Amino acid sequence: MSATLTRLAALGATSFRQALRDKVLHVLVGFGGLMVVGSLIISELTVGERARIVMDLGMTATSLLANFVAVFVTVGQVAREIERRTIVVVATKPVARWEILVGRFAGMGATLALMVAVMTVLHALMLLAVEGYRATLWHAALLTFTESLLVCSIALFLSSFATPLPSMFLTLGFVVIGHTSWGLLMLADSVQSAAAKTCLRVLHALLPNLSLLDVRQPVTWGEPIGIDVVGLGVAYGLGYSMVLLILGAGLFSRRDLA
Amino acid sequence: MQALLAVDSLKKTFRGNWLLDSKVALRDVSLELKEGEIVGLLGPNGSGKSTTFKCVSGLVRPSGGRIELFGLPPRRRAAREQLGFLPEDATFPDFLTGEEFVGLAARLCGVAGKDAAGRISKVLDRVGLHEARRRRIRTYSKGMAQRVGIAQAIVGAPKLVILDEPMTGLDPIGRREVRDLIVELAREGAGVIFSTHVLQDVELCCDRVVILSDGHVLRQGTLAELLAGAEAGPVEVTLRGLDVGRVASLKAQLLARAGDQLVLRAAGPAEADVLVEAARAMGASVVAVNPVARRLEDVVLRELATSESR
Repeated sequence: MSATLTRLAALGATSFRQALRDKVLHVLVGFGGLMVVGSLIISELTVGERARIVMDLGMTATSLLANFVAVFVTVGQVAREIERRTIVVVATKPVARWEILVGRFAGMGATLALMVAVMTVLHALMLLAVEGYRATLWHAALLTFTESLLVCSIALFLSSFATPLPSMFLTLGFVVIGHTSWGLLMLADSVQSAAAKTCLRVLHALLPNLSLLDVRQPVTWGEPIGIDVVGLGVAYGLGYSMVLLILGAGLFSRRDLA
Repeated sequence: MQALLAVDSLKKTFRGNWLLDSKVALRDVSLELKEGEIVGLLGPNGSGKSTTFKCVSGLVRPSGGRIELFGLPPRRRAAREQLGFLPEDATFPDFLTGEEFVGLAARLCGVAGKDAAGRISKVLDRVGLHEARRRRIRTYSKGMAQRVGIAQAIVGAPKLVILDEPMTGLDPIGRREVRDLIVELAREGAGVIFSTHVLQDVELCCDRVVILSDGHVLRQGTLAELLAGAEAGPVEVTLRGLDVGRVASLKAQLLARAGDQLVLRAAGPAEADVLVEAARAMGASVVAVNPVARRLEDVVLRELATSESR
């Protein structure tokens, strides 16, 4: 293993360990687990829609949980560590600044993968109990994981230059915008000015489009999910994350860690 | 011999959000550190010691001047391969155990494989944390946290060790152990530079001293050079057979009284000569005349006072 990979593995493993020992993660996972299990009880209140309710609530719980962990734990690991100066010890080692960000991303990626996998297994068990299990659940899980990676990279990018609170709120803002950015295209279609149309379309292209990673509705309704949809979503999420990491690394390497 | 660390005319201004907020932390700092040398960096709070270390370790970018670690700028990753750094008032990842934290530092320094476990264990033993190695850092006392900080700084067997206030939080025994460790590191060939407010620590182990004030170097040199340049110090004179009531007529300070002996302090050698003559004239006999060794504290205080009066 090259020296760079050794350092990335060390940083990633520490980030993973830190996340697993973070009380915020414990609370969020507990809440998510309760939501998935609770979906079974809530579904009792419906007539003939049990499987759909369990499917919908379970995927929503996993998605919410993954995004919250990606925001709160990532900001805690970078922006807060810069503020508390815990990062100083790592930054003075023979480690490039970009390696610190990528190591954190790898550690958070492992944490999110584990968490989404555990939640999806739990969800699958609930679905088996109501005879509503579908294999497309795993497609949705993969896209949810990709979405959380993208959110994590937004949090890392913002943490590379901003303090914890703005990083947290801005990342949450980007999550909301990312799920509603399709509205910009609708707006572009309705405005008359060509300049405004172009601006809105450029803005739509620049902002994260998280609706590409959301297949909850078709999965809930039992529609097939093509491999092209999953492939496009994963490629988009990873590509967008990579661009943010490169930009974040550039900013972080210029930052004074006083 | 090539300098491990060369700092030339270093300047640093911290810019705030507004131009009015800017603060000049370093005006002109130049210093060098060679293999096996121990340098003490002294100065009052806000004199620029920590900022100098932050620039040298690549944490902050200087506004001017030049820094070379092993001939390379400190922001280059390769320059920090042989650097061990303990930051001032450091907070460490408290979710890790001491062993995990030092292990992380070792892997980042390229210490891996079979050697790593042995090295980590040896370093923790060396700083006196072997027993507490499996405890989370959040359960450590301030002194223990300081020791684990020193352990992470030296686990990569660095050739240049920078310790920002390493004695903070340590009891007298801990301080002595850290001093011994610094001397051992230098004996093994590392160059060590550390800051402290405890001048006795500097006197006991440093080869050279750099005094900073208001972001520039007031004075630097070997301990002997600094002390030799100082004015002659006070002299203690021990007399026998002198009535204590007559001390007031002598230009001396009564320090102690034991039986028929009195210990007086004269301001300098000339005053001591006058004192001895006068005491003999009063029928007293001189038991001992001892010049009081000049201490670094006197030199530092005088330099700072001179600097302020300019």
